[in-house]
Amino acid sequence: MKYSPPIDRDRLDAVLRFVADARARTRQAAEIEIAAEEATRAGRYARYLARGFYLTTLEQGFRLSNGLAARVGRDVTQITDSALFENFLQDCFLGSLDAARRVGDFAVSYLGEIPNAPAWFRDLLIYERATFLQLATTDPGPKTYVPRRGNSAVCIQFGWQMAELVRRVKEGASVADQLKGDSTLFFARSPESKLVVAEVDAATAAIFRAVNGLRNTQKIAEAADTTPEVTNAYLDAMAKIGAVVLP
Amino acid sequence: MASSETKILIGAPYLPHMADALVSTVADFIEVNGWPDASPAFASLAQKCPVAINPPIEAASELTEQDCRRLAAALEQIAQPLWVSLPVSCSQTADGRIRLPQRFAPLYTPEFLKVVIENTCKLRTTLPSPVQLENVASFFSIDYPQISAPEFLRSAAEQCQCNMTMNVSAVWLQAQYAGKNPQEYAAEFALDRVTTLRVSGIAEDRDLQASVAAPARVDDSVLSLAAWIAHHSPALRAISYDAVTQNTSRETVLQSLQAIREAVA
Repeated sequence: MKYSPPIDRDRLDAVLRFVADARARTRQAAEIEIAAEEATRAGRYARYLARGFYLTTLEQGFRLSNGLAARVGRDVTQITDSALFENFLQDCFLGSLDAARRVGDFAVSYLGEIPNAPAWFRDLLIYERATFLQLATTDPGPKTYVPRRGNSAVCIQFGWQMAELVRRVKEGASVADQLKGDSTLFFARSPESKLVVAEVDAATAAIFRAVNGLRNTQKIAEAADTTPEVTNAYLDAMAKIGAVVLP
Repeated sequence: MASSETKILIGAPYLPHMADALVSTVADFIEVNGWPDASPAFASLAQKCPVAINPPIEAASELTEQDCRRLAAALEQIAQPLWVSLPVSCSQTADGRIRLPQRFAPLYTPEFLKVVIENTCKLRTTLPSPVQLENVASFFSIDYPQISAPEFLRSAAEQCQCNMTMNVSAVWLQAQYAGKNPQEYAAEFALDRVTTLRVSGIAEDRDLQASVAAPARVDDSVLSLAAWIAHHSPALRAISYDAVTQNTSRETVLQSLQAIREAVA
């Protein structure tokens, strides 16, 4: 039987790219054949999708810091009405890591300006920015031939005991200075698109940091000062939660 | 409608903070948009109330074994599963790198019709509950030969021998976008296969510069179109309210369900 390539699938992918990527809409030679009036409509549709998507993910990602900012009349979703966000819409790639970083930075900058913020507020913002990156990065990244980090996965060392601090802020309880102290957390988006936040030990953090998309398992083990067998076990566990992607 | 004696069931969206209250007052069943959550509250609800599922699986997109297993497992948790609705959409690229946050219509071509039929038939034969196809709206079009959405859905439903969930808001919006009469456009669908209607609120969006489904009280124009479709759908058995988001207020949901109940009466 003669094989027929999926022509319409490729064409639909080009349409989806046209909607997701603002730059695809401004290229001289578009990938798709579309009348000028319909291209304008597609642009309006893309803006509608992007504004709604980032508004929702900002609300979800920055829920705790936004709750504190509300006391001084700030709301992180107001970012999506700003001139800065209008500029962002001109060239954003919906769901990309780059777009998530840009919007996450807008939010940190906006919420970080609240007066008389508690000492731990900066760490909370960093925590929630990492959370937001997972929610707003729907692109799982390219295929890989050696282990690489999950597209939006990050491992961050905090100056506070973040798991307990976040629990207390959620409950509206006070955060005492006793919670000062280092903690290291993973933030990842699982293969099922779920947010994963987990406190990790030094060995896990070392292996994660050794994964750079260039090293094979042997080299990762060397860089993390452990054995390939141990490294493999850690990589398998990390792949299940989306912290790394295996070939 | 089937007959004057057939009771049309009223469905409420599954909103964890108010599901119990809705079931005991104004709703006959619960409709889960997305995957059912793993909470004890849902497990309890699923034992005492009929549940329909609109999983995040698209009829025109790639169907994975994992999705099939997850859906089968979700249905096993429900004592009275009603049906599974699949939107005829494809919002992600084949490589999975682009995923639009809303349902996006495929190209209505023979190639995608084949995909929809394969996916739907596969689910139909593996799941214990009926599988239904649901229409989606398109805001713009490209220059490429396609059959109409109603014709595409009719072909898919006939070849899969399945029924349809008619998203009335999508029909109404599509008619607005295309400058058509909503009733005439609705009549193009296979109304003899419509067993379920979904209705929602409508609002103007500044970016679209047009109407869009919104977390608001069910729109009167949509409800009026739903009544017309119901009158022409002999197999109809249920109407549900789509809250659009999880944040829709209790008051909005209650008012919408009440409006639907009055319209059905």
